[in-house]
Amino acid sequence: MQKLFHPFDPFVLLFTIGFSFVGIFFLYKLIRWIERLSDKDTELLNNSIFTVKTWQALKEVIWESLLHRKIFGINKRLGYMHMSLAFGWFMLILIGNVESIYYSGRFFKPIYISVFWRFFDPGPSFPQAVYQPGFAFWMDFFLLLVLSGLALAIIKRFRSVWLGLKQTTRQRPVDRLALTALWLIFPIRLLAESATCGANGTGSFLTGTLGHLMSSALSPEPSFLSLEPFVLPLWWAYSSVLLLFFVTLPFTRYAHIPSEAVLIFLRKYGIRVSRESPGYTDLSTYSCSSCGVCIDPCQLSDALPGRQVQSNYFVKSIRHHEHTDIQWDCMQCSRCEKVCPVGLELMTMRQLSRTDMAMGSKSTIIGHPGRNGQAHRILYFAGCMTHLTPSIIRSMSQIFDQAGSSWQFYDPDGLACCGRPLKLAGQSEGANRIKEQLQADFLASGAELLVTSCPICYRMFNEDYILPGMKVLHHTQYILELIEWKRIRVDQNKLTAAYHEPCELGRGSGVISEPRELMSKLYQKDTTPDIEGLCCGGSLGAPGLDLVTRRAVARGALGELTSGKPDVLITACPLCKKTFGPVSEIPVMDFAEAVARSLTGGSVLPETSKSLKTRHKQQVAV
Amino acid sequence: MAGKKNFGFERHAGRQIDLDHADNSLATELAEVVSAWSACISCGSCAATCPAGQNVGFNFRRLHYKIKLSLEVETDNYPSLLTSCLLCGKCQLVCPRGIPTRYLSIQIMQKTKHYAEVIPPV
Amino acid sequence: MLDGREYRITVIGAGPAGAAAAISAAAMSMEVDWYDKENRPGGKLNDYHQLFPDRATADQILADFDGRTDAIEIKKHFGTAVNRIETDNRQLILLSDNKIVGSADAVIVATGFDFFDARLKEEFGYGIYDHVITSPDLEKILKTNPEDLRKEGADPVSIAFVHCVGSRDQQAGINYCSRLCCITGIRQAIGIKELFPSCKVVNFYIDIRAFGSGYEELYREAQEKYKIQFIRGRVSEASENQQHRILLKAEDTLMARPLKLTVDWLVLLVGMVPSCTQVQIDNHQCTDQETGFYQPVNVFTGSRIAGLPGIFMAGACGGPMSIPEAIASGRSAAMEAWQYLKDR
Repeated sequence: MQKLFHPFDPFVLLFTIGFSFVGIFFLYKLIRWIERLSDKDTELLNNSIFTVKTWQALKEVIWESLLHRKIFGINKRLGYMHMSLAFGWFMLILIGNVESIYYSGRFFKPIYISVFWRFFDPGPSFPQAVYQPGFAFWMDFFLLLVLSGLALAIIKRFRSVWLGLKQTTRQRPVDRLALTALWLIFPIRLLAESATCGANGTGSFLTGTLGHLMSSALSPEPSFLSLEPFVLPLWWAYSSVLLLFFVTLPFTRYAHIPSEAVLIFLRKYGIRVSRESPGYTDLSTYSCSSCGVCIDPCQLSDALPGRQVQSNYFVKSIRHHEHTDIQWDCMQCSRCEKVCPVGLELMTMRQLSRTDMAMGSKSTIIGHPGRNGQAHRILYFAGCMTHLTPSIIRSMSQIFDQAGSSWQFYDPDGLACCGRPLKLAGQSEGANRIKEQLQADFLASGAELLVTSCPICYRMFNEDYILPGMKVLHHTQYILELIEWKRIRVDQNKLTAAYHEPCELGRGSGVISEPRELMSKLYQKDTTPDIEGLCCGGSLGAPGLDLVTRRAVARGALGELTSGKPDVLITACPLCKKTFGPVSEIPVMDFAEAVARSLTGGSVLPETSKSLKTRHKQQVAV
Repeated sequence: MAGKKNFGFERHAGRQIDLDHADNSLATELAEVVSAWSACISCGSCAATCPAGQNVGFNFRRLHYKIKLSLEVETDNYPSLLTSCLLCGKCQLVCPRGIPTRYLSIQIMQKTKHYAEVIPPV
Repeated sequence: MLDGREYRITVIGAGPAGAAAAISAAAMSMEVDWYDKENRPGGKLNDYHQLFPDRATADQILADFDGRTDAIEIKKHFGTAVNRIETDNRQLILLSDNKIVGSADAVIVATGFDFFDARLKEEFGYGIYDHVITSPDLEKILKTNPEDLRKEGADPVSIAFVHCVGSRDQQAGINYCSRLCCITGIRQAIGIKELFPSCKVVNFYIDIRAFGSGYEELYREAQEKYKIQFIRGRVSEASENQQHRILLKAEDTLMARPLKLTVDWLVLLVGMVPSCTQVQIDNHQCTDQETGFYQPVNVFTGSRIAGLPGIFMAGACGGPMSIPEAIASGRSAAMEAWQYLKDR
């Protein structure tokens, strides 16, 4: 027994307590996470754990949790910061462990021995170690790597712009405490190791040199003894900050360090965020590193200055069970989800945090499939919003007729809804009921193709509906097919145009190339800015936003979209059109309208209101 | 007991809206969350455009107007009515006062849900 | 006798307010230069059929103005749109498309208003469906060729008017009430009933604001004598059926039930918005931030444009106004200009 705990010094107890605490905490958490998976997800886990998926997950853990490849892709400096801290620390642990095994000859031994190995064994004498790459050299090298990342982290706190972030996350008190501990760990480790090396004349280029300097500073005459009294207190300090960090870790954003690895495995096994698996949702909230990458892409950062509504704040609020209304203040544009380095399902999490009150579950949908007893090849579903932009409906009917299509208007009276607005508001039960009604109606119509003018409906039909034998197309895709099959012909005109990509169509449904191809067929010059698609501000995802905020988002987006001074802004969503219309200085048209104008030989551009332009010049509010 | 003689008439609560004794706590609470709600001019655009209201007895304007008057909050079973709301947001787009009606609907549901537990849904 | 012989004044705009201002200034013996972007005076009055409340024809008023402006010495510069005024010491320099066209000691701005562009409320289908028109469109039809309202020779069966299009509407960015659309709708509905007695005429309103003298009486006459139906509820949207008739959705708010109606014509009673030919004065922000109309130095007592000595406003360039109000404000602006020139 005595042999097992040899070598020993009381200061190691602090670290050991902290480390055990973290270990027990996350073991408990792991059990809870897995326990609270749905039966379906538990089955997925059981069936996949001994497959190649585990190896793939392991590879991903190395790439993402250690090397932070995704953050590198988004922002090099930020990526370096995360990589140097995570990978550097990991290598210190790994090499320290190997070194302790190598010199002690014991594989099984208390973990503190390898963590504090330098204290127990100061290593080869300085300066040989500097020139001979060995344990001492590599330990110093990775310590330096960590310290360089730490320097960036400190800069990020005070000058985030230098790291390419306009804003960094604001922290809770316990986060600050852990952050302070984390910042102290490595400088103190450097001092403790240097003091040990200085006192023993060992160490490599970093600890050795610093130790040498420290000892000569203390006594001008070479006398190694003078550093001795500082060595033990420094190791005590090092062990204390480790204790502080470990004890606070489970309650802070640093909980992501162990959680993210678990998340990667479960995700690889096919588990996704759902109401039925609260364990996985909880694991997801623990996996957020609060890196702040989600803040800048969020358009509400500008429209709601000072309000902390972005995803990392939202995740924090549900993780800590805070009762706020933050779940409503999100446009569900998924710009943050796209950049999230952890790959969290932020949109689904937001939807599920909105209490399901079964709204919509008692509604009846009335459509017109096969009313005249005759099956048509195409069923046209305009979408409820499209009834407020009748020019899109009119244009589509002109296009159908010109192409000689056999088509039928499903919702001419505007009494139908696809169910996605309910889903976005967290009302899954209602959304399902609507889906079942419409699905049955669509299938009974005998149509082969379902065309919709609304990206929100399009996404719902694609993701949630089961329509065997029925193809679903957004009207941009359908129009492009018509042109390619030479069923209609459009003429390119000399105008300059920019395309506003609706969130639900582009990022949401992956319909990216078709609208752009249509742009090139319609307009000679395309000034669409090369940026990630913006939200117009009309979003159904954010019930809580008032008109003033929505207009602020719309103005911000218009500013970017019209930076190339186009004559017209083209979109593919009735809601985007309706939102931009009142605030845009240039005409806003849907693709359907642009194509119908070309088909009917009308003027290529709708007139804009002169009075509206005057009002813009006066910068009238709202 | 002459006064108790039954002449075939029934006594029941008056039909008057009693503003003297109205408990407007729900209305106050809602107006705090959705401040633009107070600016409603009862134009009826929301109820006119409502896809759900065309088929079932759901009239969003009437519903929130009754709350404003603190009428029958306990007995009218708003949650049951709101299970017809599709949350499609058309009402919000046509509202001339720019009221976030969709959020109002959600908030009414959230704040009146507990009545639904007392009264079984129709 | 007010004597303004040594004063040179310019009136911009030849609608009712501008005409009244020019006539009054000339009557005070001021030297008057009168501008309008159009080649003839009268402004929007030229397109009007009848006026309320007594339904006098617009032509009568126009003839009256013409007679009076011809009888007095006024220098007319029609066809010149003054769109900029620069202050040079105490002189006001008038510019049209950056060319100097004249100068004056004082200017009365009477540039009027524009009708709200109903295309901004796409849900009503204006500019999309042929049978959705605005109140000024209907006015022109009534004035020139009411037969156009027939469809293939048949009288229209039903016509609906929608109040508050581009009024009291934050979605359209207009929070104020244009005040005159209500009475316009009532008068035009009567006009339709006179032409087609069997036509069903329905007015969809939020509040009837019959504020002027004789307006309430006209409202009652519309109900009692002409049997025009008034439904309290705003139309939310319009669509077109196969027969090119217009389908309306509204709520009868008094019944608290949704309502539908099919009509031959839908008339949108559009509100008044600041004129797109407003005059820019130096680089001054002289219009109201929210409404875009010119702002007087004092809403009760002064028609001088806030912050600008020597420049006065008259008529609907300062906000929605009826014709009698515009005429009165034109006169008072002339009077104030005289007083300003005398005192300076």
